[in-house]
Formats: sequence, C-alpha cells, structure tokens
Amino acid sequence: MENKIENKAINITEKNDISSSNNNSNEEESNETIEKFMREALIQAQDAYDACEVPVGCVFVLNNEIIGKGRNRTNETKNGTRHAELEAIDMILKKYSPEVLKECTLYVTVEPCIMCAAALRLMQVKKVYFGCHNERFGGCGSIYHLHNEDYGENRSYEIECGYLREEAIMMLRKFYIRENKNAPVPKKKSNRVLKTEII
Amino acid sequence: MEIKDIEYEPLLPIEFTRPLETIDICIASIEPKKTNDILKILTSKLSLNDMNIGHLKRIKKSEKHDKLLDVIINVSTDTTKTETELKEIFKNNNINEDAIKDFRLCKASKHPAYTKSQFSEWKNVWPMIFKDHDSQHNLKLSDEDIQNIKKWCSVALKKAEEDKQKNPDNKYNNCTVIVNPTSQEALAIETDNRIKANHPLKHSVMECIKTISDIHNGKDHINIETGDSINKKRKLNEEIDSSQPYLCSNYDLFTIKEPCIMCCMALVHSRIGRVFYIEKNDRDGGLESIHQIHIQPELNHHFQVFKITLK
Repeated sequence: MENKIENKAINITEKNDISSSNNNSNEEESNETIEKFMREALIQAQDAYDACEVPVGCVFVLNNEIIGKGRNRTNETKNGTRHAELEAIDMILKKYSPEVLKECTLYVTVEPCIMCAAALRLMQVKKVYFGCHNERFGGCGSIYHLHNEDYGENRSYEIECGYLREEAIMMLRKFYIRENKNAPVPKKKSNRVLKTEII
Repeated sequence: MEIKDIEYEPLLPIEFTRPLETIDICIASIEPKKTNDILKILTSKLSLNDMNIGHLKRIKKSEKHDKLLDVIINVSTDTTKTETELKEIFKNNNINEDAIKDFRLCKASKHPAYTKSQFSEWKNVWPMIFKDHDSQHNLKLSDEDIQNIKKWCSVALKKAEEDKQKNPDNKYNNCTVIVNPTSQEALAIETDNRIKANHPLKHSVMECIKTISDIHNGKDHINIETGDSINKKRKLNEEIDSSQPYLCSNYDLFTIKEPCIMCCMALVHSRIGRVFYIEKNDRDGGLESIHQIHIQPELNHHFQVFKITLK
C-alpha cells in the first residue's frame, strides 16, 4: 500500500518546477548549491535506508552552512512522529534558539508530511526544497497546501520541488519492496519487482 | 476539579451529517411477468454500482401505472436516447419492446444514507438500501465511557491548572492524557512544554506520544496519579499478551484544546483510537477549525473524535 508514495509522485512532480520559479528572486540559491545540499539530504536518506527506516533525509542550511540534519527514525524510536525534519529541528534547538529557523532553508528528499509541513510553519522556516512529492501524506501540495494556506499567525513559506527527484524516488522504491516488520500485519512483498523507469 | 455532567458531539464525516441531495434518474414501467428477463439485461448492461447509485433499489411498485413496476434504467437525462438504445438491446435479446413503456425522469437520493434518520427521510424519494453505519461507528458513548471521560478530563484540567500556577505566563497552557481504554490506566499525562523547553513543537500531544514511545522502549515511567515508578513495558506486554503494542493503537486521548494540525497528523501517524477535547482552537486546530484530519479520506488511518462540553 505504502509504495504508492513514489509511484503517484511521478505523476505530479514536474521537472519544470526547477526553472519556473528560480528567476523570481535574486536571493535564490544557484542550482549547484541546491543540488549540493540535496545530495547531503540524500546521504541522510541512505543512512535511514541502511537502518531499515523509510528512506527520507534532510538538512537545514543557515548562511550556506549545514546546522542540522536528520533522517527518519520511526522504527528505532517506536515513535511514528520521528521524521527527518523533526529530528533535525531537535538537533538544531540543542544549540540554537528557535528564531534561527526563520533564517534557515530546508532541503528534504521527499515532500514534508502534513505533520512536518505544519511544524515547519510553526518554526517559520524561510524556504523548503524537496525532491519528490508524497501523495499519501504530503502537506506541501499533495493533500494540503500548508506552506501557503491562510491560517494561524505564522507566516507561510516558499517551496520548490523536483531536485534529485529520481534518486529520492528510487530510494523509496528500493525500501518498499522490502517488508516493514514493524507494521501491525507485515505484508508479503517477495513478489514485488523493483521498477527502474521513471516517467 | 469535579465534572458534574458532560455533553458530547461526535465530529463526523460529511456522510453522516449532510442533508438530502437528489439526482435525476431515468425510469420506465414494466410488466411484472417480464421482470426477470428485463432485470437480467439491465444488471449486466447498466449496473447501479457502475453508475454510483448502488444505494438505490432497482424496482418499486408504480404509482402512475396500475399493476406495473417502475425500474431504474440509468442516470441519463436524455430519455428519448435511452429508450431507443434500450429497445435496440431488447430486440437483440428477443424481448418484446412493448414490455417496457413510459421512459421518464424521476428524483432519487444522490448519496447513500449513513444514519437511520437520513434513511427514513431519503427513502421516500426513491426506495433505498440501508447499511447501518451508526452502530458500526459506535457513535453512542456508553455510560462507562461517559464516566471515564469525566474522570480523564478532570485529570487533564487539574494538571493544566497546577501548571498554570507554576508558569503563569504560559499562554499555551494545556494538558493531554493518553489512556489505555481496556485497563483505564493513564499511560501519559503531559502539559504543553513550549515555553518551559523553549521549543515551539513541544505541544502536550507530541509530549504524550513521546512518553508512549518511551514506555514501549522499556524506559521506567512515573505514574503521575500515584507517584509510583513502574516499568510499563512489562505491564503492557503482560496485558496485550502476544500481540506487540503498535504506537498508540486503540488508545484514548483526552486533551483540553483542539489539537493543532501538526499534532493531529502526529496522531494519524501514531494510530490513535479516539480523541476527546473540550475547547475549539480557531488558530490552527486540525479537527474542526482549519481541517478535519481525522476524517480526511486520503489518509491511511482515521480516528473518532468527540467534542466534550462540560456542564
């Protein structure tokens, strides 16, 4: 069931996203910079994959420097809320005051889920780059548009997607053909085949 | 704080609360003797389920034509075209086209009835099939439930009040309790720790979920009611026997303020069973104010929500 994440994501994440909104502001990071940090996020995701966690990883960047990183730890912690973004925020808040997030850009391999999308708003992050969409839980375009919805007192944040999208999708696909032993009824997935084509 | 009495309101999906909405259906009148032959064709060529009107009965006694039956043909408003096409099919199946007559439009309920009161009203428009979602969703709380809600809401209110005394400037004052509904044991009682911890995400719901994970990880935990330190993992395992506890599955959650969007999705991820809260959260509430996350159809877990009014 859960492998819908990456399959459905294919249909909505347009590569054009990258170029379309990139020229709007002169404060924008260059494509090389974005890719460099997204690569770091993917290293975190790979770390999660190696630990049999859903492979999602992220880094928070302040003035071109990574000040926090995280990856999914829901199985290890037996806590379904320990997503990459919340792990990284906790790491940052051990050293910095919460206000620092207002100046931070987040690079995350997969669209933040509804919980994380709302958390990023509570933290008032400046901007979010993500790889592929998350059609099952996504809070930045897939199910809700929490990044720019009109609610609450905290400001909305900008998003851009499509960076290193294929890598993010392939990592999820690789993960979901394995079995999640922590789910209430583990599904037999031995008949699943890894799809490699990305539309 | 003693709670004398409560009222509760289940926060239901639209299916349970919507008023009657009708659609036009094309019907025709048929000879009762030909019913079997005609139905065979209609069921295979024009299935009600395929037309999203599986909640309607196919046939009823005709009020207009004595001794005839009215039957649903399709949901097209072009009755002439429907008549031509159907008679062509009849011809190919050797059924006399005089067996069916008077193709006309009729009203029927667009949606299936989820409650008995919807059903008793809507079936008068066109007969319907009723599946009792009311009892399936367990929307009536038992007397025992009511007693437990009173108990745990007052525990939450008391704890929040104590916290207010200690931290009078905490504008986020709140308390959440997670209870195992079978044993009626509080597994987590946490206040809002945003100000205390200088951490904007340490809402009481998130803190409770963390406490539950600590218990599942075997960490000792102080029982706030009795002050005893108990190893809950051992207790949980004894209680649930062979089946491993999975996150917050089937647990009840009591909280003063409607949880925010982040907390509501955290509860989806944690597979919470039921949520009870007292106050609406206009700013960013995720159950009634901004979104209805517990009944968002696209999500993989749904939970019951009851809004509690203290009397």
